[in-house]
Amino acid sequence: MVTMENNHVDPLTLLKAMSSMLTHLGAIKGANEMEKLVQLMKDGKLLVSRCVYLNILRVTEEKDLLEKFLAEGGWQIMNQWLVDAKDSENLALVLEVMKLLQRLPLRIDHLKENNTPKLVKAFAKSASCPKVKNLASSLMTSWLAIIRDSSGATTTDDMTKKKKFKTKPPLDRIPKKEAKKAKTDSKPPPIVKAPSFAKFRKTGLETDQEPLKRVLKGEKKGIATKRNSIENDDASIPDKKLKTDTKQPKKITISAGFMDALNSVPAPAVKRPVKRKAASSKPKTPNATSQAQKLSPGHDASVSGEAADFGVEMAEKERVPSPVIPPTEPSKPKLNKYGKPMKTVRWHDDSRLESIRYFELEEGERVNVTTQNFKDALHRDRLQERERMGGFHPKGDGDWKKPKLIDLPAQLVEIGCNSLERELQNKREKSVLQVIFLTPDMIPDCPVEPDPEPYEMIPPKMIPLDDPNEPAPVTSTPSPTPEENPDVLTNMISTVVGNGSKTSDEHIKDKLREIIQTATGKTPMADGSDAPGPDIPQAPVPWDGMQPQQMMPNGGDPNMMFNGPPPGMVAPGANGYFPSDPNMMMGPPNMMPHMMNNGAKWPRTAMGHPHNRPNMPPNMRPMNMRHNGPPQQFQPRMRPREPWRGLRPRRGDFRGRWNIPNRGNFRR
Amino acid sequence: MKLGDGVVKSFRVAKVFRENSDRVNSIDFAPNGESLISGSDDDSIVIYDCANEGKPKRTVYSKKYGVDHINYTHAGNTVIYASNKVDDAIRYQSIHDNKYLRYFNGHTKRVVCLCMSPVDDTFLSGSLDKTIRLWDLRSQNCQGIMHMPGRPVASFDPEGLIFAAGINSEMIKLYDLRSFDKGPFTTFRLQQDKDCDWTGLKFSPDGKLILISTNGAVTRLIDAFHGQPLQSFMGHLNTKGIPLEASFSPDAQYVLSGSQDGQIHVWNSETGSKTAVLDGKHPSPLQCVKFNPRFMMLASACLNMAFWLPTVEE
Repeated sequence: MVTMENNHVDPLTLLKAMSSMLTHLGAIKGANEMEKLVQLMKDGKLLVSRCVYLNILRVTEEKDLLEKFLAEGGWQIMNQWLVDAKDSENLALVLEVMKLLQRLPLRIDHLKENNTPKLVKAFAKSASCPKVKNLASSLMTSWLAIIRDSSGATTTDDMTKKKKFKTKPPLDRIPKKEAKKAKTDSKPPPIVKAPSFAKFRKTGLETDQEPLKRVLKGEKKGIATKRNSIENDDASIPDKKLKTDTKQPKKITISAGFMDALNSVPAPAVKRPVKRKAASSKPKTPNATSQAQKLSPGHDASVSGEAADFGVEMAEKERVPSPVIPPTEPSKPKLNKYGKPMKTVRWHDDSRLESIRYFELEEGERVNVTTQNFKDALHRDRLQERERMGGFHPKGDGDWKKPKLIDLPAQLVEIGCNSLERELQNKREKSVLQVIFLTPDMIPDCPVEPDPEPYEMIPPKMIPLDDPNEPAPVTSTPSPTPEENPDVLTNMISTVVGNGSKTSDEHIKDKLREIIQTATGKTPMADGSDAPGPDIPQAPVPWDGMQPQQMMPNGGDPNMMFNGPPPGMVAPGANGYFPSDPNMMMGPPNMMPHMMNNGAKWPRTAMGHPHNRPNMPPNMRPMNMRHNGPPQQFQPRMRPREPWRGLRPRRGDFRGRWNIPNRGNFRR
Repeated sequence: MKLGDGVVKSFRVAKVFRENSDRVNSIDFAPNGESLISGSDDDSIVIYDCANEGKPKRTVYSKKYGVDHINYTHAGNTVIYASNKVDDAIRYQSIHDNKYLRYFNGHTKRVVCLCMSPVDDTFLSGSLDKTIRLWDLRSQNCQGIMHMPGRPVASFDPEGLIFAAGINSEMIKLYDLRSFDKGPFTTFRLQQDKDCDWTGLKFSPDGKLILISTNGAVTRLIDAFHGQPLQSFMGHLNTKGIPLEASFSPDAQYVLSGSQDGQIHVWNSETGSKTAVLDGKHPSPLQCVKFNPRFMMLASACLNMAFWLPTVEE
C-alpha cells in the first residue's frame, strides 16, 4: 500500500487506497490506523500525498487519535513539512499544515521540542499571504496561552521568554479542549483564536473526564504531571489538589465558575503525578469533599513542592537540548526516565560535596618547603621578629658605656704567643691595603679566593682512641691476672723500697724488665726505637715515696687513676710527661688530697733519676721528653701556675719529636 | 671591677643590633676582649667593637660558602670558620683585605666544632663525619685525624698543651699535643647522656674544669684533672635539640648558657646553684652566650645581637 501511495499522484486513488483506514467522514478510524498513517506520512514525500494526509488528520477529531499522532512522531513530521514548505515557499502547504497544527492537542514540551513555533512566529510576522499570516498569528496566540499557563505554574513571570515556556510542563488540555470545541462548535480554528482563559478551562473541564481515564491507563504520565504543575501554579490554589488527589468527575460537576474551572482543568493531568506521589505520600484521598478541604490547607505545601519539582525539571531540560528528543518519546519515556527518580540525581549540597579537615602543624614538623618561597619565609620571619621585639628596645645608646676591665688573675699563657701566622698576617697587613667598604653595597658576596699554593699531600697521622701501649682496653687491664700483677708489683716495689739505696741499679733494672714483661707481655724497647733524642731523666724512681699499699689498689682498680692501669707501673711514661703533673705536684690549693699523692709521683717521674734509667743500648735510649732543650728547661715546671710552660713545644717541634718514650722504655 | 653575684645579677641589655636576617650561629671574642665576631646563617660575618663604642664596625659576606663556628685566630684580623655550603671545608680568611688565605679540606660532613689553639696556629675541628681533625693554619694538610663512634666534641686547654675529645657522650680523652698520635694519656669515663648528645666541650679559663654543652636541657661540669663529674646545670629550656653553647665567665666562677626561651641562665660553677636568670627578651632561642674575656660585658645572640652591661657600679 505504501509504495502504491507514493507512486500515485492522484489524490483520489490514494484516498481510495486508504479508505480501509478511514471513517466515512474521512477521519482515521483508530489508533492502529493512526500508526500506519504516521508511517505513511514519514515516507510521503509528494505534495499530493502530504495534503491528503493533512486533510485526513484535520477531519480526525478524536483527541486520542491526535495525541496518538503526536506520540508517534507526527509533531516532528509536521515540523519537517513546515520547513519543507517554507523552503519551497509553498504557502499553500504551510497553510494546510498550520490548519492541522491548530487542531493538535499540543503541550508545552511539544512546543519546545523543535523550531515549529519559531517558524510559525516568522510566518505571523512576515508572511506575504495574509491568510497564512492570520492563521500563524492565531496559532501563536493559542500557543502563547499554553505557554502562559505553564509559565504561570512555574513562576509568576510572564512568558517573556520562549525558553521558559518550553521548559515548563506541557499543556495538553488546551489542545484537547480545542478539539472538543471543534466537535461541539464545529468550527475548530476560530475557537483557538478566540480563546480566553475561562473558555479554555471550561472546555477543558468538559473534556477532562476522558483524559483522566487515559492517564490512569498510563498513557501520558509525563504530560499529566507537567500539566499539573503548570496549572497549579497558575491558579496557585487548585494545584494542591491536583497533585495529591486523583481526579474525579464529581469535582468537575461541583465546580462552577472560573476558579472551579481552573481547578478542574488540572485534575485530569494531575493523575500522572498523583500516581507517583500517591505511592509515597498520599495514595488516594479523592473525594469531592476531601478535595475541597485540601484545597485550602495543603495548598501551600503542595505548591512549594511543586515548584521545587518543576525547578528540577527545568534544570534538566536546560541542560539537555530538547529538540533532539522525538516528539512521541518525550512524553512517556521522559517521564519514565526523568520522573521522580530524577530528583535523586541532583548534586549534593556543596557542604556535603566538600569535606574539609584541619590538621595542626606540630611543632618541629617539617613544612612542605617546596611550596614555600624561602625569601617569603625569611621576610615573614623578620616581620614576626620585629613584632615580638616590641619590648626589646633598650633605652638606646645611653645605656652603653665603655665596659670596665675585670679583675682577673694573670693569664696562664699569653694568647697566641706561639703563633707564627700572626706574624705573617702582620706583615701582610703592612703590604696589603685594607679593603674598605663605604657602603654595604660595596661588600662583595664572597671574599677573594685564596692564592693557589703548591703542597704535598701528606696523610694525617692517626690519633688513636686508645692508648696504643695499653695491652688491652683500659677497663680490662686488670682482669687477665688480677692477682699476679699486684704480686709482682709488690715484690718489685718492696725490692726497690726495701733496698732503700739505689746502688743496685742493675738489680732494679732487671727486676723492672721482668715485671714489665710479665705484666704486659711486650717486648722491651718496642717503642724505644722511635724515640731517639737527647737523654732525659727518666724513670722508675717515682715510686720512691709510694707505699706498696698505694700501688696495689691502683693496679687492681684501673678506674681509680684515670681509669688507667697502675699509673706508676704500666704507663709511667704517661705520667712522666703528663703536663698537668707539675700542677699536681705543686699542689694547687683546690687539689684533692689523693690527687696530691698520686700527682706527687708524676713530677718526680718527670724529673727522673739518671741512675734509674733502664740500661738500654745507647741508641735505644729513651727519647727526650722535652724537645732538645737542656735540663734547665725543666725548671719552669717547678714554678707554680706555669707548670707546663717548660714543656710547651716550640713551633716545629710539634710532630715527630714529642713522642712518648717513657711508656715504651719503661716497659722494657 | 670584680665579678660577683651582685654584678652578675645586675646585667642588663645595653645594646641590641639587628644586623642579621637569620640566626647567629657563632660568636667569638678577640682575646683582648675589644672586638667580637659573629657568623650568621645569613652568610654574613659581622665584627663588633665591644670595648669602646659598642657597635658593629665591619661586615663581610661569605655567601658562597656560608659561615659557621667562626673563630678568631691570633692575628686579630684573621678568622677561621666552617663552611655550611658547597663543601665542608674550613676556611681561613683575612678580614683585613677580605681574602681567603687557605682552605682546609678533609671533612666530609658538616663541621660541628672548631677550636683554635690558645697559643699557636693549630686548631681542632670535629665533624658529623665522626672525625676530629687536627690542623695547622700554615698547612692545608691535616695533621692528625681521629675516628670516633659518634658526634665529636673537642677543645684545647687554655694553655694549648693538651686537647680533650669527647667521645660518644660518655668519655673524655685527653691528649698531649706533642704526642697525640700515641693515644690519650687519660680517659674520663662518665655516665652516658642517653637523651642528649654532647655538642660542646670547653675548658675553664684556669684549666681546672671542663664544661660540656649538650643539645638537651643540661650542661655538665667536670673536673679537668681526674674527670669527676662536679655539677649538672639545669633549669634552662631546650626541647628542640638546639646545641646551646655554654661558657665560663673569665674567672671561671660562673657558667652561662642560653635558653630556648631567649633567657640567659647563670650558675655558680663551684656550688652549682643558679645565680641569675637574665631576660633580654630575645625573640628566638639563645644559642650563643659569651662573656667578654677581659671586660665586664657579655654578648648574647639569637637573630639579634645583644650587649649586656652590669648596672651596678662597684
